[in-house]
Amino acid sequence: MENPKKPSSFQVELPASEATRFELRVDSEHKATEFRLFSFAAPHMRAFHLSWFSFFCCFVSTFAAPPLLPVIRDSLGLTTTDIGNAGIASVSGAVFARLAMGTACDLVGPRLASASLILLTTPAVYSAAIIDSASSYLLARFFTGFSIASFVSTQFWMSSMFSPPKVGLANGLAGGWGNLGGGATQLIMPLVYDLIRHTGTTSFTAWRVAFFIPGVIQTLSAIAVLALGQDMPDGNYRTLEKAGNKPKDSFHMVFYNGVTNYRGWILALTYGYCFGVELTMDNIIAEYFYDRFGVNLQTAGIIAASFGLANIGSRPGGGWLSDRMSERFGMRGRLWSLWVVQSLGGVLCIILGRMDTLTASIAVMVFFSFFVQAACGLTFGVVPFVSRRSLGLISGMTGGGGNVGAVITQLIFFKGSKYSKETGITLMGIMILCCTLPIMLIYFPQWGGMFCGPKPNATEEVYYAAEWNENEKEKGYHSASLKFAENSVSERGKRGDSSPTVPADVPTHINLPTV
Amino acid sequence: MLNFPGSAALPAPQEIKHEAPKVKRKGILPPIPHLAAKKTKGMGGLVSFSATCLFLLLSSFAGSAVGSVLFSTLPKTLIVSASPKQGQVLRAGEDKMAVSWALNQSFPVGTDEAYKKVKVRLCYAPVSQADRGWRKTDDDLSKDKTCQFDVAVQAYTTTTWTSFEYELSRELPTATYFVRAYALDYDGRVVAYGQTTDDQKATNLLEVMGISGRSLSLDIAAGCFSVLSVGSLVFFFVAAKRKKTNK
Repeated sequence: MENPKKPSSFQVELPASEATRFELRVDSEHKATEFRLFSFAAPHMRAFHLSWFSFFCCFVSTFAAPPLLPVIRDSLGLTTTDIGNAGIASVSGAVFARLAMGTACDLVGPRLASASLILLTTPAVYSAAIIDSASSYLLARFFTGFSIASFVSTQFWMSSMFSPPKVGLANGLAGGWGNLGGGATQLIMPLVYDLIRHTGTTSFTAWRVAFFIPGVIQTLSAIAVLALGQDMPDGNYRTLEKAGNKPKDSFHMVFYNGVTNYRGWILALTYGYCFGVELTMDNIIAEYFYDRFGVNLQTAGIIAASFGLANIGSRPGGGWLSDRMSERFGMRGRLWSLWVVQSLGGVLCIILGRMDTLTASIAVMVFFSFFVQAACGLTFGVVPFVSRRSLGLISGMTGGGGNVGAVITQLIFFKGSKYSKETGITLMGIMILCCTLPIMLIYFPQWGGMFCGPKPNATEEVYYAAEWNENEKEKGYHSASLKFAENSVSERGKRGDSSPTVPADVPTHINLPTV
Repeated sequence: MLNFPGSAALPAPQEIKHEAPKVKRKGILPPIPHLAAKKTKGMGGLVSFSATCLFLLLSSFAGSAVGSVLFSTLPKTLIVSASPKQGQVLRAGEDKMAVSWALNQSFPVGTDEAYKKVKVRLCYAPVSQADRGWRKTDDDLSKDKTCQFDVAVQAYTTTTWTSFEYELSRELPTATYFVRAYALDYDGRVVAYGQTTDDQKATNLLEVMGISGRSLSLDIAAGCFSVLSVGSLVFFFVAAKRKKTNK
């Protein structure tokens, strides 16, 4: 039986005999060290495909209503205020759900947590068949919106399955391809609606039937997660905990450590103005093009889709850019690139609201989508370094902050008839610029911030070890954090001091593997 | 092509042609010697793109001034009446109503010389337009969204009354309406109108109850699939527990 206090070495490769159990190359934790996109090999690549596809389905369902709003608003007698309220409701449910998902993944594992959430929210999608008023429409969108909390479980699952050299790519692809759903749905729903209309169904029935398509696929994807997925390379949580292979951390300590880290709060705010803006656009863009430029339902859907579909490359691209900047300039490069890209997104948003013609609007929107989604990827280039102990909670806070941004933005600018949609979009751009400024306040003692260099004697070990108290350090609980600290020295960039310092406060009975 | 119900009959917004005007290098602009042939291609692309944008921007202003009719300039020369009484609620897809129109005889003879066709439409009353920007009234008829449903399009006759029996479309949403008739000339331009209500659109309005779109089969399907979703979750939990106790 393995000694539970022995630190796990993340990057040591296994002897050939043990490694042949898996199709991909793995490290000593059995996390994959390679990423093969077109493979469906169990458990790693299978987990990737199951998680991004089920998350994709959740996005399709959550944003299935907006492209069909021109029909739904007359069918249910909705006013602009009703539509705005429902849009806010669709993204507000996930604010707390994302926080809870982090805890749920810790307790029961990402497979059960995500499948439970998805299967329990699918009835809200089917309820499209029976809703008949503004309030029931709002409730349906509210409960359906809970499902996009599965973002946290995708990031958690990928971090459990993939080794640090590949975890960024896996996270970025899983997150980005899931967000694709927000764009794909703008194409899928009008198409499905059109097909149903061709059978002779009247419009007020056709939209109800259309919702069954995303609903059924969502149910099937969650069943696939349950049947084919597993939490960790070696098995599911229940089996691993029984064998004593997986230690449990204290929820209170993890929570306290996470919420007292100011960087998590700043990133939650700024993520609200890249991802939150993306969610807002998913809600308003089809109606905007339909009403302002008089295009038909399908065309409005295609244009709106191109916004969300950019996620296929833009979000992973943001993550890639963050890694490239870090190679040369370290964490300061990550922070600067995040600020620059997100601010440019804000500028483009201001311009989008001022565009008066269809072609110009589409062109600006495409550029805007690239920048705002790349900013999402860049944000999650910084998040893994904020905390090692409370990574799940910080990810959940940031993710939840994204939804809060969507709620606030829709409340202020897109509810009721106070601002025309184009004015709302311009004002949203100004708000992006303002809420991106706090990135300047993020400072890591060992790496610096946007305007200040690192403190001369600060080390990564001190930063990450500080998350544990003396008791825990004596028991050696923080050893995984120390290993992470060693690996994170790369965040000093090319000009930084490259020799890792020997940690002075590790008890002698713990043996750290030599690099 | 998918059309929102009723929108096919709306006058189409001014179509803007998407041709990039060719940028000629001889003439007004002096040649720029330091630009290599490769750069010129890129520059040419950039210049034609910005020229297109400018062209589109300008034509968007031009379009609104030329060729569109303002409602406030139209004379109210037709009298229109509809059969439903005040307070009567009609059901979409089931009920019928009779609509009739005629020239108001108090106007001088010859007023209707230009009238060729009469287009009768069902229009939203102000109470159904409130907080609904997609039904907004605009004086420019090409942008006006008040009247979205066709009742009848018929040739104009000089007889006293023309009647039409209209079966309420199943696409009609629940709302309050009035009926308006536009008189079109030989070019298809609107030259006059008449409506069942007064100028403030407050009297003699119709109530229509739209269909819900629900049906029993849909309700049953929703119920079945919901049970399938939650049921499969329960099934997996039970199966996992069984495995644990069997081990």
